[in-house]
Amino acid sequence: MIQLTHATKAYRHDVAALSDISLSIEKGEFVYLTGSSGAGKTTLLRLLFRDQVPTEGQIWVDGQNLVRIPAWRIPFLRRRIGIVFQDFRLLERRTVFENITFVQRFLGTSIREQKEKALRVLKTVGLAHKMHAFPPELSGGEQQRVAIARAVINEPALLLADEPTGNLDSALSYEILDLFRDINNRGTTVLIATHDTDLLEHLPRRVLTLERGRLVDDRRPTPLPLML
Amino acid sequence: MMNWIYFVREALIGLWRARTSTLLTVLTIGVSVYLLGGFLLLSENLSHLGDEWTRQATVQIFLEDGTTEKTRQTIEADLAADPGVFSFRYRSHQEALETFSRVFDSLSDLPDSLGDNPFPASYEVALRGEDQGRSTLQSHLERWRQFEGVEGAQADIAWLDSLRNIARGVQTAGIGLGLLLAASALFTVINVISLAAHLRRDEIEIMQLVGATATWIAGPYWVEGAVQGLLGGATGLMFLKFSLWGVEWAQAQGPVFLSFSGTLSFLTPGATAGLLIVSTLMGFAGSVFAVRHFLRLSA
Ligand SMILES: Nc1ncnc2c1ncn2[C@@H]1O[C@H](COP(=O)(O)OP(=O)(O)O)[C@@H](O)[C@H]1O
Ligand SMILES: [Mg+2]
Repeated sequence: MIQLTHATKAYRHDVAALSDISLSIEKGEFVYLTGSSGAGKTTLLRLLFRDQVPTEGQIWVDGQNLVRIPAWRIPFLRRRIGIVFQDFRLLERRTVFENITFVQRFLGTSIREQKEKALRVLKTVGLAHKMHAFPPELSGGEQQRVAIARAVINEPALLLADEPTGNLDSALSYEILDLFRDINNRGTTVLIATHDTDLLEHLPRRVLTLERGRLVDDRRPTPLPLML
Repeated sequence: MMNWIYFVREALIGLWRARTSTLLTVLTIGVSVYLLGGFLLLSENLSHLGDEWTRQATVQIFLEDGTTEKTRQTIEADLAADPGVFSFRYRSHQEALETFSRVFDSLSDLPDSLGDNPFPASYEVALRGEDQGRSTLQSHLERWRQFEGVEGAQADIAWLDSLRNIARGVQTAGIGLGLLLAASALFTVINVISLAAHLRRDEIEIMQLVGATATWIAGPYWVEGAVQGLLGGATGLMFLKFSLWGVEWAQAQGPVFLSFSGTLSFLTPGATAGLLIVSTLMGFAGSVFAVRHFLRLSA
């Protein structure tokens, strides 16, 4: 699903936000991307939905070479990816419902189906009663949950989440994590950037660790030893 | 289909949200349509006027000296039978002289000093209105010149030709000025739509990030431009109509416009529709240009 070979991203000439990253994530995997602030997590995710182009190296996502992808294909790539942005990125002048169904209305999904889907996903994130609210009327945590709802509503092939629990208390964080697990169980590949080690313990999975732009660790959970 | 409904709704919301700049754009387009339409209107009416006067033009058929009664009868029979001739009147030698003396009082001695009466007898022919274009007039003249006993035939239409030239000149100037104004209106549309898109750039970026195509994003702006063009065109034409009423009213108080007695006509439905379509397309083209960069997603 995701393949990077020697990917480097420098926003400015001298300093590389990511250097020489090679990794591969299979379809259906659930992976954490961790590392301290400034390590390059957000940059890596942005490369994966072609918001940024690598300075060097190659990136493949969902069978597409993102270095070569023509501009007109980018929207189609992004519709296969659910993205939870660190800063939410909600349309402020549109309701929660309009925000999470934005893409569907263009794809000819019936209003009825849009409503059903929206209601279902909003229930999961505990915001069914805020369906017709506008983002600025919501708290940070609520906006984050709307962003999550938008990312998962179409059961994307790939889910990219950047600090998706950064504004949530731990009980809610675990619920969101369970939501991601459910989605993952239905076939979506999941990549979550987080520096919250609690999460990694709550749902142990493969962990990629970045440190100052370098991939320093790629660890899969060891199976629990059998208790006798 | 769904998308167009969405585009129109978004466009109307956008236009309303920025109503001051919408109003300014509409007025800018309106002024250019008003002036362009005004020139077309003026040249159209001038050329109507020319047609009207051509219709009223009379033709003089001058007879050779000493034309016999028989020749005159032949000519009169022909004129009477001609469906293009409305009426005709014989003007004798003597009558021509009297007319001259009356009109040019101070020169009334002139014919006397010339000795013989120099004014030929003539027929004054009024042509029938309907089919009295420039070319039929010419062909009549050619025919009459061939008649036996006819010295010459003429219609004083040189100045009508110059009226037509003026009309054509007004039209050319109007189209030139109109194009200039259209360019400035286009420029306004481009700037206003660019600004609108710039103000909504965060929103646009989010739409792109969640997979909106360039068309989804640009569509509402295209409609905004077209609507501004249409409204501008309608405004310009409306004020043109008001102006025409104003002139007609002033005319009714006493002739001002070339002391023309007939009614002034508005632009033909074709020209009216044409101006509306042009202004709409102009708004549309301006916004397509303004948001063209959405069609090339940034790297
Ligand atoms: N748009 C940008 N322009 C310049 N530098 C940037 C930009 N975005 C991030 N960086 C730099 O790249 C490095 C990695 O940032 P980021 O990917 O946001 O890390 P993380 O998400 O792990 O906190 C940081 O040093 C940051 O300052
Ligand atoms: Mg980050």
